[in-house]
Amino acid sequence: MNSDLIRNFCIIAHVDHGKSTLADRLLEATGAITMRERKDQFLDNMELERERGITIKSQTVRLSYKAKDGKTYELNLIDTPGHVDFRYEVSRSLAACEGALLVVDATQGIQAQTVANAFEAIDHKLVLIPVINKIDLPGADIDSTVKQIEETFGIDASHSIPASAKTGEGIKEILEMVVNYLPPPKGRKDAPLRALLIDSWFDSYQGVVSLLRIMDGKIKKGDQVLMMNAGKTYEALKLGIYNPFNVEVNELEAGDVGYLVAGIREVRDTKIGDTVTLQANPAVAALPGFKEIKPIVFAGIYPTDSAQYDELRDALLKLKLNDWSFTYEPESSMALGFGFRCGFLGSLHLEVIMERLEREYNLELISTAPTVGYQVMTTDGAIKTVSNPADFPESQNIEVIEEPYAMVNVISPAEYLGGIFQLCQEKRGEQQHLEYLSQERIRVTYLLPFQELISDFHDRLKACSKGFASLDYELHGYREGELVKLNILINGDPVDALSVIVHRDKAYNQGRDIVQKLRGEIPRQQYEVAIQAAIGNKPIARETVKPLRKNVTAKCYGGDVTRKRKLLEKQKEGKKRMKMVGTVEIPQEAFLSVLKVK
Amino acid sequence: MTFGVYIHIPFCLQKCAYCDFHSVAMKPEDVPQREYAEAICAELAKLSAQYELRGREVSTIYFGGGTPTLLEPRNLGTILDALRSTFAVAPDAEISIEANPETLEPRNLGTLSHLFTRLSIGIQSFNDKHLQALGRIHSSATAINAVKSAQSAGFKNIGIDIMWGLNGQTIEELKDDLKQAISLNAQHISAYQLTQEPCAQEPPEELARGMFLLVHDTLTAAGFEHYEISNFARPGFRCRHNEIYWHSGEWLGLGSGATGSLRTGTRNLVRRNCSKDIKRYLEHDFTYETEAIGRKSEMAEYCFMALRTSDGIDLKDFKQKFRIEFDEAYPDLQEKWNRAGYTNSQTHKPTISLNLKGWLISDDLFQEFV
Repeated sequence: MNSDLIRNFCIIAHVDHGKSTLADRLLEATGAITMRERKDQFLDNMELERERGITIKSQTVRLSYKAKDGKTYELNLIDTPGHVDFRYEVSRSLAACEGALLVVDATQGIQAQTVANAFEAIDHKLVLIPVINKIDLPGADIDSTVKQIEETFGIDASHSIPASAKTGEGIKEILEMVVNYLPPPKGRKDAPLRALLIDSWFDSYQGVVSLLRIMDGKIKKGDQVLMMNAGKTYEALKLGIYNPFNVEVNELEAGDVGYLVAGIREVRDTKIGDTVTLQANPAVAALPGFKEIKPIVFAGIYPTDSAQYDELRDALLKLKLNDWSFTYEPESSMALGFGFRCGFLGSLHLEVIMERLEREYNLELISTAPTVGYQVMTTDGAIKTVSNPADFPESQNIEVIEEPYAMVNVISPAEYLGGIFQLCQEKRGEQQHLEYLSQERIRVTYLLPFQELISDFHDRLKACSKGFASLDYELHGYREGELVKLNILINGDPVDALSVIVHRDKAYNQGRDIVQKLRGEIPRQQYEVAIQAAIGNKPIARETVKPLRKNVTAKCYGGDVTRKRKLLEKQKEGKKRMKMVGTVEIPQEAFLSVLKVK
Repeated sequence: MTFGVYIHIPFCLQKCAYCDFHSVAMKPEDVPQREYAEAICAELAKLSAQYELRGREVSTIYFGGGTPTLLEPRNLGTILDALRSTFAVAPDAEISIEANPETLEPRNLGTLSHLFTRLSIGIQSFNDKHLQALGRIHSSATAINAVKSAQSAGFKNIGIDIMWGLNGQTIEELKDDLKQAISLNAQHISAYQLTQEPCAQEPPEELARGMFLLVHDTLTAAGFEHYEISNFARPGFRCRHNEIYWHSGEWLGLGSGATGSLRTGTRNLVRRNCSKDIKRYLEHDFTYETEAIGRKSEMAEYCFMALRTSDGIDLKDFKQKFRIEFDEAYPDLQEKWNRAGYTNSQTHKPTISLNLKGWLISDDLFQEFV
């Protein structure tokens, strides 16, 4: 195919601004799917994606579009994940495109993820087509949204297209603009192959399927290919495209987007951002921008019923097949028994995995409060990464602790600035930058410890801005911190799964807050339950759950037996999500409540 | 094994707000006297044939309600005659009837004392203010007279019901009720905490606990044996019929809304609830909801019902019945409860029974069995 007739583009938008619905309309308008095949948000494959309205895995589709100039174009729409946890995946999808539709909700204006993704796209030299979406809604303000785009990004937005993905208005104009305004791919077909690995997933029949954007050269079925960063070679068994149903082809060439099946068994062997070249005639250099992605957020995941351990292990194995960014390794907790320490890209990633495990594999799970990985140098000079507070060395053995930081961007109506300042300060943030995007909207940048970000930062931000503030972050290195381990003791015994790492200055307040929260979460039991917070051996706070003193049915005769038994069964069922720690029953919520402290 | 018969009489002069037993309120002259007694006899004939119960020895008969004494003695007599001609009613059988004080008069008590060996009177309180709040139609004076009249009429085994934890009731008021109850020289006292819908006011936990212990202390000091969570008896005067329920025996239930529990043909335990539709019952249209009790459920019921009594679980009987040792069925439970101090020390035979501390939180402990 003549690459002048190819356009590679993606859609960038804040969560809920209508990206997936717009993609559906484009598919329909080009006849890629018929109305009969249509289910809402075609590209969001996972049930969970559709339900939560977020895209977790990238998808791509080739649209065949006959433009007004009479020529038929091949439009490759590369869908991008829509959440901050998946920033790197987004950046790789962007690198595969020449242009992007910048979708902004006309009722909400620019939000934090719009900014992050748009600047990323500008960095990648993508040509942007602003799409002012949701113009069918009463509060839509097209002019001010266009103005916001111009002021924020310093680009000419006079070619913005007002649209409604819901009603279909503006869809034709978007397609014409894609053809006329976005440049065709520029790759050299005769150069050695360089293909960008955008995404990969596991298919139980074919093994790992990798999504590629061919930047230079061509790849043919049967070629021996080399993954330049992973350093492994494979045979290209199958090549194809999605239209959106999968169609096999014999070759892919510069400018194309398609998939590769190469008999690869594990997703982790296909690193996103890697460069695929031919073994026989390799490229001189790999494509820029490759990063090894490592999990930043960790949590222990345990079966509520220890008999489900094997099922949990199998489920993790299966999930891992399709999710290269998540890690797990067995661990054991004195409180929770045998489980796994799992690593995630962020707290949403953790939530998604937990939900899939419970829903798709029918498991009852308890997770410990998520924590970041700390770099700890001990007095003997050894450096290790500690991703479980239980493994934290004793304070006298610690030389230096470093914790990960995030550069956090918040966009909000200016009236909530006070609350946002207060929150960021409380979360140990350092202000880096503040600007007015317009008279009413501000963008503020803070350098914030990652641990503070994954506690209840997002909820609190929403609360202090009546839901209007939006958030974007990026990992920003490690810094030394005055951190201590806060032990939580139940009836005098430390419960490893409840311990947390906190800043020394906040330890007292947090300790008090945690034990109070736990008192509220732990139901009354047959015994008095003492809850203590301690730094090292030094207790700093205590609360008591008074024992259950009276719980007895007055009348129980022949006609009451069945009812009584059923009531007991129901009460017992209610206790199922609790974990016996020593002699104390602790509900799942308690393990997470340690996170939600001030 | 002892076998009992329960007969449900679902009529009352007035419904009490707290009562969740099946009954309908009607004027005495509207009670379908003869028709209901005949329907009971018909149901008896049907079930005894169906389950081959004819000639089986019956050791207890219990008329409950409702207010069974709303049936005239001759109709009660009709039912008893039918039972005697169907079963081998033991000579020393316990034959009880429940009554509300306002239905007991010297006029009918004489006959009742010939028909029944035991009378259970729902007094509930000796405090007229609380009686009124409960929606009872009798006064404390009526109740006291009823007990005295029953004693004069020849009843040698009288049980009285009282309730505690009434709205606004003080410890002093309960003490007074207990004192009056003891002074009536009844053989049996059932003392229940008033059970209300969860939304209604319940006394604070510590007060309720204090009342439970006060009832125990006062009645045991007066010579009563605390033989079930809410029941006290003078030696030899336990309610043998209720013991069938607490020790998972078999009984036949008759009457609209009655529950029965029988082993049919095979070893399976089947619980049957007769429909509460009185009109259909009077037309001899007997419909039941039946429930086959599985082994695990039966074991659970056996344990939590028995543990309501001071006798507790007879471990030999458990083994014989379920072909498994208790410790095997519920590993470590005995040990755990012993350590926590919920159980009584072993008596001469192997049993597990809960002490006061255990009884007080028994609903929590019983979850171990399900």
